[in-house]
Amino acid sequence: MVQFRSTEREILFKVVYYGPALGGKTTNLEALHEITDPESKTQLTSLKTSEDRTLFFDFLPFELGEIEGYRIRIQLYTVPGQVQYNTTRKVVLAGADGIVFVADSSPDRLRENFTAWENMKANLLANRMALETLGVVIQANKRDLPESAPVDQILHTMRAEGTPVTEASALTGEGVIATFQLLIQTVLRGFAQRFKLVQKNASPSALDEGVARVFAPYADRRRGGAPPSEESVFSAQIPLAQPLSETEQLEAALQSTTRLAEQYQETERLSRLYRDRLREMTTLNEVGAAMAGAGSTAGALELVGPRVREIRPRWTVSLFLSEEGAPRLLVRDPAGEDPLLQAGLASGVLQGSRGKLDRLQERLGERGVVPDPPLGEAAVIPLGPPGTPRAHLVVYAPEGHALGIEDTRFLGLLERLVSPRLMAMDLLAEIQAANERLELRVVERTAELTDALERLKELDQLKRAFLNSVSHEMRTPLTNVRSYADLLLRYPDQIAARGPEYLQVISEESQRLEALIADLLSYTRVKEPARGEPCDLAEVLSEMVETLKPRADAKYIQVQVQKEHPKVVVPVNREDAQMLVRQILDNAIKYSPDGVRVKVFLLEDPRKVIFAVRDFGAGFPKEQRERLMEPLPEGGKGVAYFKKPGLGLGMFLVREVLAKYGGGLHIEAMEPGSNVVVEIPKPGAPPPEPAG
Amino acid sequence: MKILVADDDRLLRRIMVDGLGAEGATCSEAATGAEAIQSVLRDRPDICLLDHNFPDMDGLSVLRTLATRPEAAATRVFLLTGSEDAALREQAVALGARGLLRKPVTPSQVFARLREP
Repeated sequence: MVQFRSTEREILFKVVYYGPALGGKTTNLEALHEITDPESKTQLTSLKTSEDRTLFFDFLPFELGEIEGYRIRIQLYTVPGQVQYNTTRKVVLAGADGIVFVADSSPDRLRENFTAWENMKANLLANRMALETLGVVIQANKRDLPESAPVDQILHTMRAEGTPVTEASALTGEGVIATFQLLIQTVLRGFAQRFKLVQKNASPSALDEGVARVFAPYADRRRGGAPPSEESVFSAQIPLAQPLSETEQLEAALQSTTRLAEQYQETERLSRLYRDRLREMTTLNEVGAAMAGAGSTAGALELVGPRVREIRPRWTVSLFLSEEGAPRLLVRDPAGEDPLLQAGLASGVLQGSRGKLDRLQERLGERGVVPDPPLGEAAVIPLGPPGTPRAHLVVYAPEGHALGIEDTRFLGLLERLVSPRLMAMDLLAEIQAANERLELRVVERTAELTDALERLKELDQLKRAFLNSVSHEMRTPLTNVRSYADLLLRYPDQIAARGPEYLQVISEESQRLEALIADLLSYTRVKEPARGEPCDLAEVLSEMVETLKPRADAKYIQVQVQKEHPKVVVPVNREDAQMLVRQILDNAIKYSPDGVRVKVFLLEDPRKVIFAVRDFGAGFPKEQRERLMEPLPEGGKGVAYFKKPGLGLGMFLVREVLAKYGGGLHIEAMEPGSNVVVEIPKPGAPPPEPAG
Repeated sequence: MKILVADDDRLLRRIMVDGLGAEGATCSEAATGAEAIQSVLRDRPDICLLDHNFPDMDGLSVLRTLATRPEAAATRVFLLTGSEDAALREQAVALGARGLLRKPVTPSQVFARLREP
């Protein structure tokens, strides 16, 4: 019986290929399948005996496409032709909308045609069906046989004159489409009349033309291409020792039908499953892509909750962000209160959750938590690095529902997608922070290097200024020596008269040069860090007075020493102490006029040792004194200090030595002369009292 | 040729007097700026070797005074300095000096310079 689903505008017809055994019914279906569905989108179902005879029926679904706005689907069946399988024939025939009677054109089988035709009519009657209400086409098959009976004779033998007839050769495919097309047109015409579709602008000729258009592409096709693939034919060969009895056959048919139904259901189930999985994978893929574009962990996670519910609409989803202290609820979908938060269990349950998927049911039960409204099974999925998750996804199934294998699998996939993304985001943030730190460090280091370079440049300038100053000091006595040497060379006649006088100057100037070189050597020593034993300054003083005595005597200068104690120990090594005393004494002798006294005082108090030299000459030239009283530039060095003229190396050395030992120097201008006072702190002495 | 050696360094004066004297010049000495001015105006030497650093004044002050006196016009003055200083040279030349002599210097070097045109 036609199934007419008006709302879906779909019409489902049942067509049965009837006829004598071995007449070519199955061959007709095979040809149709091969011609109309070369890509084997549909499956021909066929159960055969080992003699290649149809045991139950063949089945082929057929999509005719749309005609006049209706989608037309046709189910094609064949019946077994053998006499003993009449029950099957009767059952298959039930509900048919059209019949193709495949008649055998062999002259010796005309009687079988008649028997089968009569059998068909009897079965229709038994099914309470009227031949007149059905579309019926007789196909004279096997027209390719060399001695086929004329069509008229076939119809006459069957006593079926007047029934529409076609000629065909199902083996080659010829006429198969034409037969099928004619039957569909006949069936549709009857259908249109019965449902009064004519009044709804579906004229019989329009229907005919519609059907013709559908079949037009197949009209010229024949069989003979590649045989249908194995997948396209569900076929089984059932070996039979002898023909089955009617009861056995019925039993086998029922079993077979049951198996088919089971297979159909399984197929349906699998296809549903694959559809769902495809949807899951598509969604997960989209989640991954969206997370990649998110700016923050929270932003990325906010996308996850709603997408989970697209896949499992009946679930409730909570997403907690792991924050110091308590987890923070980021997403609750659908909106509402999270049962864990309600019960005050979020912290304990979530932080205790270490597995990839923890089922919560038992743990909630243990704590006596009854979610309101009641929920089914729940699970926690930690997201992020293993052991230190960045977030927790909690899913609640609806009341009375458990989380099944498919759910677990889906959640597992989700975890494997989201966790690495979160870890990657963390790593990226770390790399960015490290880059920023590195940049800062480079800037700092560059500044340090620039500073160091500046200091080096200054030091270099200082060194050059020092060398200039020293070389100038040294060239003066050398020039003087040369002047007299030149003079004596150019005017040897003067040697007798002035020679001794000139040689005296040469000798003195050589000594001055020697002293300068000694100072220069002292300078390199004075720059070395303080080391060596403390020495007795009283002893050093006596020694130096003795050393300088010839120079003092030359100017008739008397050096007087006044000391409180015979021994005055200072924390200055002997070489430095010698230089200190020699320079100051030498200066006093140098700048005093002939015949005066130079007084030296050596005093001591608990804090310091005082060494003072009073001269009675013009004293220190004023400029030198001022320069000496200037505070030392930073670190005892400075370009300007050397660039100014007038300061000998000697007093500079004095300052360097004193700076090394934390001592001080000041010069008092006296009338006449000056008083040079040196102070050296004793070791372990308390710091000097603030001045004033 | 009459040369006045004006410098507060006694040794330098002595060397110059001995050296230039041996070459045939008649030398006189001055130890301060004031003495130098006095000596130039009184003796009208052909050459004056003038120190830049006197205890009482500097060489430029001496030059400034001499520039106002016609008696000094015939004396060629050379300024003796310890450093090569372009600005100082310019100032000295502007005040009528013939040039700078860089100390330390030997009498033969001075003589060579005096023979230059």
